[in-house]
Amino acid sequence: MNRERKRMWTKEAATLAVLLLGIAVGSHATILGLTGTSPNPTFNFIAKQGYISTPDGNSIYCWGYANGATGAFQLPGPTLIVNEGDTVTITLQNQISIPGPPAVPGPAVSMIFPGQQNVSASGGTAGVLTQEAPSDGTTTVTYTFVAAHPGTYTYFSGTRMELEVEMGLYGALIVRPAGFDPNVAANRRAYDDPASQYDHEYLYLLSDLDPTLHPLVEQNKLDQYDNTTFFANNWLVTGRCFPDTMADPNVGYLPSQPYNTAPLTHPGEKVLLRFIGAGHDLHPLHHHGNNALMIAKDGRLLESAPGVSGPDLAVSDFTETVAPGETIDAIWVWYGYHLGWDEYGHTLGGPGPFQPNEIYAQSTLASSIGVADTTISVPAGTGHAFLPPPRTFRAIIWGAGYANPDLDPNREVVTATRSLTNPDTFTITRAQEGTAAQAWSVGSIIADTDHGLPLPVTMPSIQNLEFGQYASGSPFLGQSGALPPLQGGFNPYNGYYYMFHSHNEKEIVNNNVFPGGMLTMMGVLPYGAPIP
Amino acid sequence: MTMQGMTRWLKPAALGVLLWASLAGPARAADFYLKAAAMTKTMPNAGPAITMWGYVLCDATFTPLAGQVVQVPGPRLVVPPGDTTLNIHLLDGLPSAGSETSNTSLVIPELPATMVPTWTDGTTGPRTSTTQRVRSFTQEVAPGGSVTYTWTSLRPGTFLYESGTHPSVQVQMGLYGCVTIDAAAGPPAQAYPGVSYDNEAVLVFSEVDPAIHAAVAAGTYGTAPYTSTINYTPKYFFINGAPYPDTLAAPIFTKPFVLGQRILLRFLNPGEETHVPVLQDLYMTVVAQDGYPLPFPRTEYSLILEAGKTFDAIVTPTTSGLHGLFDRRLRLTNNMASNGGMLTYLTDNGAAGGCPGTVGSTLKLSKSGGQILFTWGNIALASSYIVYQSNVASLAPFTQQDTLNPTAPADGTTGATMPMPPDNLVFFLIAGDNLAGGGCVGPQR
Amino acid sequence: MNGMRELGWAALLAASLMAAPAARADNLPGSRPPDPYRSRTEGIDIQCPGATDPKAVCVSIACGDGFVKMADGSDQYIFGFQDVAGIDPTVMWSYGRLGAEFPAPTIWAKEGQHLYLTLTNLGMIMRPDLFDPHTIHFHGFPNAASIFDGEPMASFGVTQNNSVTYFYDLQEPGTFMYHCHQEASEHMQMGMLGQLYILAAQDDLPDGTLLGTFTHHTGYKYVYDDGDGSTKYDVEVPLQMSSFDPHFHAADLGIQPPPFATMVDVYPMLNGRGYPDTVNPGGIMNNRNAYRSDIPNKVAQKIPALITCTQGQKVLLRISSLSTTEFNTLTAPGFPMLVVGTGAHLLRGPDKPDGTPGKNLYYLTQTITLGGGESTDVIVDTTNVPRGTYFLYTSNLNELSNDNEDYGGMMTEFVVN
Ligand SMILES: [Cu+2]
Repeated sequence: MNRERKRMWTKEAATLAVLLLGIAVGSHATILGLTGTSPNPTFNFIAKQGYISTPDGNSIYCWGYANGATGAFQLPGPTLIVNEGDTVTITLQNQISIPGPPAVPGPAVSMIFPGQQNVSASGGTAGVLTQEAPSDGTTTVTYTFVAAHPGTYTYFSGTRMELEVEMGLYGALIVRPAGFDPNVAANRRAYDDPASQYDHEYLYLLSDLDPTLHPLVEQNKLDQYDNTTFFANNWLVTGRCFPDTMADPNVGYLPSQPYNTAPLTHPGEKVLLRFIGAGHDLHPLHHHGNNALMIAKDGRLLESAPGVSGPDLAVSDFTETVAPGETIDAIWVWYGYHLGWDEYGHTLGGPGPFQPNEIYAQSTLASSIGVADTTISVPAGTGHAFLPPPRTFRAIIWGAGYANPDLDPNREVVTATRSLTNPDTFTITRAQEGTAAQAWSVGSIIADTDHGLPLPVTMPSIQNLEFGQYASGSPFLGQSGALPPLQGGFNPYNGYYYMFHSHNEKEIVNNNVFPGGMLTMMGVLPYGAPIP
Repeated sequence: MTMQGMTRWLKPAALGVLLWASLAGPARAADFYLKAAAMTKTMPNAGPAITMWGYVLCDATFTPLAGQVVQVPGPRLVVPPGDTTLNIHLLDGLPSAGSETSNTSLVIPELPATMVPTWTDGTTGPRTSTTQRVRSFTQEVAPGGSVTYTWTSLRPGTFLYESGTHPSVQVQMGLYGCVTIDAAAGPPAQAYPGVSYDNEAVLVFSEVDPAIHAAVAAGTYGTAPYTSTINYTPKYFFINGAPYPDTLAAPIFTKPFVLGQRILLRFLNPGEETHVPVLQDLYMTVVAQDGYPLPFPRTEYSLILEAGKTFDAIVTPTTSGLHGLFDRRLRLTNNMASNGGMLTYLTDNGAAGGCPGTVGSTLKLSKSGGQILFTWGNIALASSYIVYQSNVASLAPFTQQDTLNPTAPADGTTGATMPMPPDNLVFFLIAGDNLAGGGCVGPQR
Repeated sequence: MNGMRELGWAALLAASLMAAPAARADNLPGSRPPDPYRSRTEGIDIQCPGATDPKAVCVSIACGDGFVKMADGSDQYIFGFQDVAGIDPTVMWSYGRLGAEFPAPTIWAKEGQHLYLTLTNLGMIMRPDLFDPHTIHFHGFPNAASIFDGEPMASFGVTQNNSVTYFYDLQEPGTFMYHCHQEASEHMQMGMLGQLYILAAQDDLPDGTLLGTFTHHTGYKYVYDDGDGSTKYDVEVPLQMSSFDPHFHAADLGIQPPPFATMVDVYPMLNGRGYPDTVNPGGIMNNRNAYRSDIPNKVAQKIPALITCTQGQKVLLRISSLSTTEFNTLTAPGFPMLVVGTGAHLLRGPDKPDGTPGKNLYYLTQTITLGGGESTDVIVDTTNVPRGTYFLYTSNLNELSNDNEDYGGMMTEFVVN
């Protein structure tokens, strides 16, 4: 087969398919799930079977936890969202019946809850790790525990795990901290600590499956089922493969895969990423755009004095290693600082509007200076600390009465270096970028900002480039540019998009089709663009 | 080097007995004599017998000590706190393996040592061409010969010892074990300064690809299809040299398990894959890795236990019952069969205060005619034994089920019978009525 | 079941077939051939500002195809990058034919500099039917803007015979990577992988500057701006893990569809070499002349992985992985490794709200585990390491193989003199 043609088909198919589904932006920006009724939430799960759809056109027989008698088979199981201190009860029945031929009852199933302590299990039959529900459709096993600690957790079958986890019996459990309130920013927290406050949260439940194993189960050829030779060819984020990850939740064409992972944010807002390893393999989940701060693992803050210090052992990284069974909470923020050019394409003096994320560090002059002075005294201010010596940085000085430098016609651009011995003393080079040196009074504002800096390079003609679906056609946040036909189109607010994906790159395909798999696109939308 | 060192040997951890001479004199050197040799390990469920290479603990003449056999993992070597020198004397008793080398060597990756490589051309010392390939990371020994390896920069920790010769074959064959050095003998013992523990378990995770073992045993390794190990496909997954349910054949703890005590879990992975041990119902505090104390302990229920890694973690169970410990990489089969692989339990007996290990290694359980027959070795430490039973899944405290008086089954061991309990899958524990002896078995199908 | 969707897909596939793919090719990503009416050089624009930006550092890199040699002697067809600094656009195409290198040329720059990084797409000599765009993704660049992120779904790829100049204001030092992100599963497996190091500005402090109780002297080098001299090193060694699937490479050479679904790597490597090529201090000559008789062989693997130092020195291992398939663990019997950085960041907890520095989280280890797209900074203090030859190798021991050849794979040597 001609390889070029093959590729074209796959790409065209992916492109058109997503177009057909509508623009996949504006999906829900929080984590969907079952909340129950605090303080004694009860959930009735039934293990069911069904098919998931993968974008390579495959339909894969799977097992999953369904929400009660009326709930459809789903993968992953319902995300359980409970509150710290709740007594959580989950009943489990099992309706799995292997189609065959011959049709046979499925194996017993169960649930275990790593990270929850003193889980009691009753009913059913004893298994290796917990009580199990045989596939008679009627026997009920009841699991009860107190959700004593907030955090991100997982649950999965504790029975024949190499079979039942492969087949899809896993899900997420989120325990909200006491006092959690999604509508009050300060109380929108992952843990009982202000350092876990966030603006948006997204679930990355990562799993992998070997599509050659599932038909063996479906056809009742379990004697041929060998998980020691597991070889994944589909990789899922919260039950879907890209590009389905970016479609709306609960879309009709994915009846068994209700959850999407289509993250959106604005500059400077904190995004809580809840990672769960639910498959066989470790996955290096790389987030473009910026490092993230890993604040918790396995539902426990990374802190030197548990419950006291806050996440002072948090680690910054650009890729999170997500191992099966473990959970990680990380906070990702895209600030847009220090690009060396103004990401809004502003020119100095306006029209702006000047945006909150344009200032990296800001303070005021502690003493006045004349037009010839080359040292200034600057106490600590807001934002980040000014860059330490021997770094030099660009700064703008403007009058205290103005909200931003555009509004002060006398603003002055300088380059500055902090003193080695007294970090509050800056040596400055005056009157940069065509501005004039001014006499500045005490209280004048100085800020490290890229505001008004032009793009330092000339972009080639669009005819020399090929643009992706999430390209806006412009280097600038919130602006668009002309694009060739059939390019772009998935970025109506002209945001900056960042791929969040497995960096073991073979995992971002669907079987033989690229792109796919364990991949989502994070959109940083300009201020004012709605995030549901 | 001689008698004193000999008295310091440890029985393998699987026997659950810690013994070393209290007469550690001023020499401050620990000496161990190991012989590398072949052995056979039979897999559960009428599985295959797999040729492995292991170590046996010997006296200074390389004669196996009483009760010692070639084993995988090799015997745990306990260096007394304060010793400044470790000598391991190694005799190469490996069989001929065709074109595959039967020379061997021994390294402790985590401890500095002077090492002189041996190349595949047989020469030693610094590299003399760009095409040489290393065969042994340190001085090697040929079959029948012996060599002494010495470490003088000792520090507290949990370490691997393993073959430093063609490791992709020899470590896979089973040439690995555990060395521990405590900071203080106690009680309570200290694994690291300030890290005390009351009880401990060594948990060695490793895998076996039977095809490679068969090729080595047949002397055909090195010829197609096994010219290298690149297509490694493990089929059996061990904790302490056995897959579940054989992981339960002996207690993993060295002392009776008592609620509220600090238990040191020493995780080691001489295997070739990353495993992710997950604790059911418990958290552990990870205090060290590769024998280096962590600057700040971590609290977690899962560990990323990479190939070649060691971790030390403290767990303090306060509730009775079975706490599963399993590999979340889903290496939970024996070949294709479910309910196998890297699974064991951290457990207590709740009511009776412990599962002493003295007869555990020989305690066996069998079913016959509606009766359960317990047999154990030639010791009868108590006039009666108590059976405790728990429903495996409910994690309920153990309840006393029966009192048994030892009888003498036909095979000459000590034994006792009781009626078969109603549940299909239960866990038993026997403790002597004086709490001086007993053992654990089960769960049993 | 999802009959509707299945139908939808089938219909789409059928429609694309019937719609004369060749006619539509020009409009589809990944399939646009170069304009035959433009010269090869018209689209090349190497932007380097010179004196107008005193902080500028300019790098010119071209991409295309080439060959490398594995340690077992086998040839592998690759896609890759090569350094074309100073090469005039008018001769770049002839200069760079089949010149891809593996790993890609290492890019070095200093914190505070402005990196102008020009990528020129020279096209594929062995695959004239392929018109793949390429990109450079500066992996780990903080606060990246999509336009310079090199991730083509959110921006663009550079088509054949064209160039783009990416711009980066280098604010943070560290051990980064770069790679092509166009059809990344394929292009990265095919070898478009490299190392990118940003040196710390702390190196340039005036002689005698006090960093806490530590006195800086001219010539001292640090991994990060640590403020206390704790990341000072004497010798720096790049170590990038990667691995190849020869069947995948053969498929690309043989004009077959990329076999993503069967990708299994059997050549585990450090710096693009299997053992013992890793310890060869020279370059590895390829065998491209066998495939194109008009093009002489080239040294296409230029980065040894041999670590050499003098006892007492502190050796910085900049370890990264751009494997496209798996995690690997490295182990090193006999010498301790101090991890001081991860993810191109000093390994410290977050600063406290009052500005005091975060907790020092450096730790000693005997193993380093990285998946694709992960990096770490390790310092080996050789003060107490006896002189001799040590081995740094993967403890995934089966990967001590060059495919079917034994005594090879992901291993190198650490020589303390
Ligand atoms: Cu490319």
